[in-house]
Amino acid sequence: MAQQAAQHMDPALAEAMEHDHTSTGQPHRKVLMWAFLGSECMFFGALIGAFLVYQNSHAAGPDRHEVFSKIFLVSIMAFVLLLSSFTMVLGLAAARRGDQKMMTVWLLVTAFCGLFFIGSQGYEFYTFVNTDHMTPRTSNFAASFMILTGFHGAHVTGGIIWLVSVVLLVRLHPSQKKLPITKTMLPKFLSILSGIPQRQEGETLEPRPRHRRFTAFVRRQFQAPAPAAPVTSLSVEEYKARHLAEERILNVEIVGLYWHFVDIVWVVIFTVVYLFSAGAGK
Amino acid sequence: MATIAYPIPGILRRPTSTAGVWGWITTVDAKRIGVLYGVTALIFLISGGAAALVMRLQLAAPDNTLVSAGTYNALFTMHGTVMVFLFIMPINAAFANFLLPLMLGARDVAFPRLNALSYWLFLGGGLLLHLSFLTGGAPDAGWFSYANLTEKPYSPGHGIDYWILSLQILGAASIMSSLNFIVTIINMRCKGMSFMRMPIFVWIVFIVSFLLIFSMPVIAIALVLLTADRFAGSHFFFASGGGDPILWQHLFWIFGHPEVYILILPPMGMVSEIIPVFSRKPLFGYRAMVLASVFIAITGFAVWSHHMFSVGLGPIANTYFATATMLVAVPTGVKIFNWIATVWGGQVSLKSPMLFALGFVGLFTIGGISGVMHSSPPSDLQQTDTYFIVAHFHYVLFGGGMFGIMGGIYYWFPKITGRMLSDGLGKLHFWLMFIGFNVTFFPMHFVGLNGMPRRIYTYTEDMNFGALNMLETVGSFIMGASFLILAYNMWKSFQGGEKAGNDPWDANTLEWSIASPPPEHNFDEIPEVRSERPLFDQKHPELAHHPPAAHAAAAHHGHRHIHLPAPSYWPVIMAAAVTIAAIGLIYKNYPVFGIALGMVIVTLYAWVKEPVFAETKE
Amino acid sequence: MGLRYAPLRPLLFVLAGALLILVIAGCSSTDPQSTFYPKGPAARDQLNLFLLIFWLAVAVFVVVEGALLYAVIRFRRRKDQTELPKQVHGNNKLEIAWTILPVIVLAVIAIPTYITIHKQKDPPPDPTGKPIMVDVVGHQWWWEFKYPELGIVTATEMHIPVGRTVTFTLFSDDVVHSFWVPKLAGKTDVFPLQVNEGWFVADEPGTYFGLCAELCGLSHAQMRFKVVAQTQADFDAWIAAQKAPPAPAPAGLAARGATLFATKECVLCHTNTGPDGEGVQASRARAFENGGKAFAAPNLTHFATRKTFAGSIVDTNGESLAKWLLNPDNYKPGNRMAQLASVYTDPAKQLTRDEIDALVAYLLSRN
Repeated sequence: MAQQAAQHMDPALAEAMEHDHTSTGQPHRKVLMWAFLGSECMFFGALIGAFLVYQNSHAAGPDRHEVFSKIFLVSIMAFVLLLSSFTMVLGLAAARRGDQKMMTVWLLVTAFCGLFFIGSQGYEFYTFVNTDHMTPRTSNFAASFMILTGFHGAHVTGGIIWLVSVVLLVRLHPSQKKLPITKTMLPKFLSILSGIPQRQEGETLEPRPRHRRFTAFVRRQFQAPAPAAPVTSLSVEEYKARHLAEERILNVEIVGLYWHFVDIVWVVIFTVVYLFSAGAGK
Repeated sequence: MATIAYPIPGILRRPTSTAGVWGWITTVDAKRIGVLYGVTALIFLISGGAAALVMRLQLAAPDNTLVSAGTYNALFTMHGTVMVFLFIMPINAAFANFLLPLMLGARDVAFPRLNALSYWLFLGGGLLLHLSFLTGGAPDAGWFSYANLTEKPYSPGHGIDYWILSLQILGAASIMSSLNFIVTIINMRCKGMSFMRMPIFVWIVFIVSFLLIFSMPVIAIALVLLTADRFAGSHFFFASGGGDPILWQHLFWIFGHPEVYILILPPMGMVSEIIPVFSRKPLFGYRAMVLASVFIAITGFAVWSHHMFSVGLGPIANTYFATATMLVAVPTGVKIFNWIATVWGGQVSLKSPMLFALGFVGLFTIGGISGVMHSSPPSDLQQTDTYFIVAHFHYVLFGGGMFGIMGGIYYWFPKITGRMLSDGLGKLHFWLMFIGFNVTFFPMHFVGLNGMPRRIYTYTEDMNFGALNMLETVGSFIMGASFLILAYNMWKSFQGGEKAGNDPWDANTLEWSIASPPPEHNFDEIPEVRSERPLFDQKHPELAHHPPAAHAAAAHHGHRHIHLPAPSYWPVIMAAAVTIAAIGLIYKNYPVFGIALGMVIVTLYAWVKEPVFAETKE
Repeated sequence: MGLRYAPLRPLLFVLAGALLILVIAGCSSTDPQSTFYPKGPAARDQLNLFLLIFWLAVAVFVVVEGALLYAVIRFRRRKDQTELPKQVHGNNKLEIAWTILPVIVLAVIAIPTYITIHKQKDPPPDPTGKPIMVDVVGHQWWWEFKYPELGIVTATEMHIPVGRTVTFTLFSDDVVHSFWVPKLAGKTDVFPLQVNEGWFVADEPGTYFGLCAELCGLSHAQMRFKVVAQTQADFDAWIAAQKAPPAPAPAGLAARGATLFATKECVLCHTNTGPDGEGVQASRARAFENGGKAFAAPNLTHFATRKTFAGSIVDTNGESLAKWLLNPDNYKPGNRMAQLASVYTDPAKQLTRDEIDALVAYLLSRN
């Protein structure tokens, strides 16, 4: 059937569709990201393995039970990072429904959570060096810990840059009207922080409790995607425009995959490195 | 169209021409990248082969003083590293790049620019490794570079630093190209090509790509730890700081054993393509071959410690690794039997590709059998680190790998260049290589069992190693001469070899359905396949289970303009920046390192902003 | 086409025959490191296991290569063949058969392997009930042998009594080495952090060659040693000689050599006053890793009792000692003595010919 349709199709449209066609229906970049994350598992696996080998090799430096006895800050870090996975999902949902403003907001909140994480990790390293006198030269425990968490921190940093880049690529696109940030993102952000719904100009005041936004969001997740319009009715321009929109959603989806992966890895690191050390021993 | 295309950043105008040197430098065409890979790998083969011949000269007689101990250590380190990372892996990548889109019925790979980056990074890493020779002191701790010999007090020069960083770059290149191949195979199969209808070579590239993306990270992390030791003063492999050199061995072989299969599986795939064509029969047990390859790949991650039976891991670990290793022999045996069964009952024509493929089966069998011999730990304790092992893995990687690759070269050269190689010269090449190979490596089994350890630059006369070593040296030069015939054969072919036509071998797969060399867009019309032998189905519709679809669509469309990915400067610029950053790091020249790293980031952004397909002026 | 290459076949047979003759000529019972002529139970068990696998392998080799050659020769394409051969895609029964067959062959190999692993796990009981214990320490590029129960430290030549079980611990003071005496037992790696254990028994008196089998740097090829298996009486005499306090240097040249040995900083690395104290060698090794001018070096208290030196590649005599002292790189490239000792690094402190003669006389008096 599709073959028949293809025969009557505008050649330019057929060509455009041929470019975008994949055997599985999944875009190349998404498959790439999944394969890449598989590879990443081995990077982190090897580092966690090295840490497990050396976790008790503290030489003259402090041992892990001593260092990780206070895990308040790192628990907050873990919580914030997990929270950022949630805001990432909200950002993707916004992108999917074409709400660029909310997408921008949620992605920046996600990046901000990442920044908080990196800042805290910097502070954590600072105290290790200055209070606990623990540097990579001190012991293999210290070095393997710092390389593992540093490698993860580098991933978070890369993720932040990527999130901001995704936002900028969309916002700085010539097709975007250039409104000053004080009129676009800031009010939105303030409204989220304060919990007061943002009022558009000329908008009649209407109560919009946040929980309803949430239920709407959940409902959207379970809704079947709208069926694609029959191909023959498309013009090349329409098809390409639609494809570009899909590409933008894909940009968010892929950085999201990466971000979730980095979060999950932190759950493993938090458990293996911090919780096991804080709980056991003495 | 202009309304939806991203603007091109104004730093560099996008290359528009595909002609000349710049056309090659900026190319994103998988076929051209494949050719670049192949030519570069063959040049590096000269480097690795020359190192081997000098070593053989040094060992020809007892107490020889042709080269010093230090030079000899550098020679075998370079020989191993070059052959593994700069010859076999890239030449396998060359075939994969050239053939994947053709065999899948696609126009290109999934990420053409990433593909170009993989090649340029590989070139950068290879040149970096060779640069160590010019700057005084090549790496000299073996291709396995066991810690803690690689730590600063025991290897104070820059050789190890060059080795570490070039391996990191080569590893990154391999991971990128493997990811690319994985996505290409998952997503770019033409209509009707289910996984079980893919040519066996494509299957093997698919499996090997997974092996690469799972094994390369482990060596990358091991190298990071070693870098920290050498640059930042940590003690990961330093006993005096509580570091354990055995950790390096584990990490290295968790990578290193899958690596062996990464090297040998693609030649197996080539042979599996060649033997059916020259026997005029389908591959016997296609499904079993696929399953056997998958099983070999998975087992590859579960047997690494058989390289470490003498380490003292204890009887339980040794028993497990012995058993797992022996199990590898089962799928390998299935493959060998299936190849023989493919020949059985066929009509064999011994053209040069077939000779090499049969040579592969015969010699690889010997390597496989000697592999079983040292899967038994007590027996291995007398064999490990001797010339018996050298003989074993050369039977696998040369008798297997190199013969398979040569078969691949003779088989696909007409497709790549459009001209045939001389079959007579090819046969001469085969027999010289076959004889030279066996004269070189067969005696090594006995020298090894007679107690000659590996990696010694000389031996005394009372060891009684002299006669066989002289024989081995003679054999190695016969082998070396055989490659001159290949070079002459290629040169002659370029001078006006016989035109190949589309399908000189009466072959089965899609690449032979189009012109030789293939047009840039590969297929005028994307084909549709019904079995793992699509071209065979077209030539013998009476035998096909489902007759191939008539190409009605082709007539309808006629010849139309096919939009291909546009060339780009960014891959080569990024690879150059990465290589320069590595050199900066080696000499702790942090300004250079920083500037180069900044260039990488800028390039990354320029890359992202540049669309894959250039704007067309309408 | 088959006929075109017919003349090649006899040539191949001649080549293969010549190869076989050379290979057999290359292996004889006098080869000092041959694993085919074991002189102890450990190596013998390893050889027996090898031979079992070897003959099975030969059988597999003949069957597989035979089938391949037969298929290629029997099914050559004839000129008149234009029809396709029967297009066989596979045969499940056959494929299952040649999956199971290797499993059976492997089981035949695996079971004796397990038995041998288990058997070699622990040393056999010693006839006297008390095995000889040796601590083997690997250094770049020489071997140190300590007999902790006897209070003996020696280098390069390991003495053992025939028929007694010798258990050893293996440890390295620097990089990874591997301890191998082909005629007595297979390899055991030597690590700086992990202490490995091993054992062997020598059946008959003799000198067995040993070597380092893991790349350990420049002079890896020269890191050899000898195991001297002796009767119990000879071994006891050797112990007595090694336990004797160092003899005073005879007057004259040797006495001058004794002074030089102290003043030329030889004593920084070499002990000549009995066994090295606890931790002395280790502290020298650590000093080297931290950039200091010391390295763990052989104990020279009873140097002249050793028939060879410099990684057991040089016979101990005045001429070779003088050549060594003139420039140690003559025998062992990259060795630490030439690299670190001030008499080689500082031209002002270079040894004169006379000083070398004095040192040689002193060293030869150390028995």
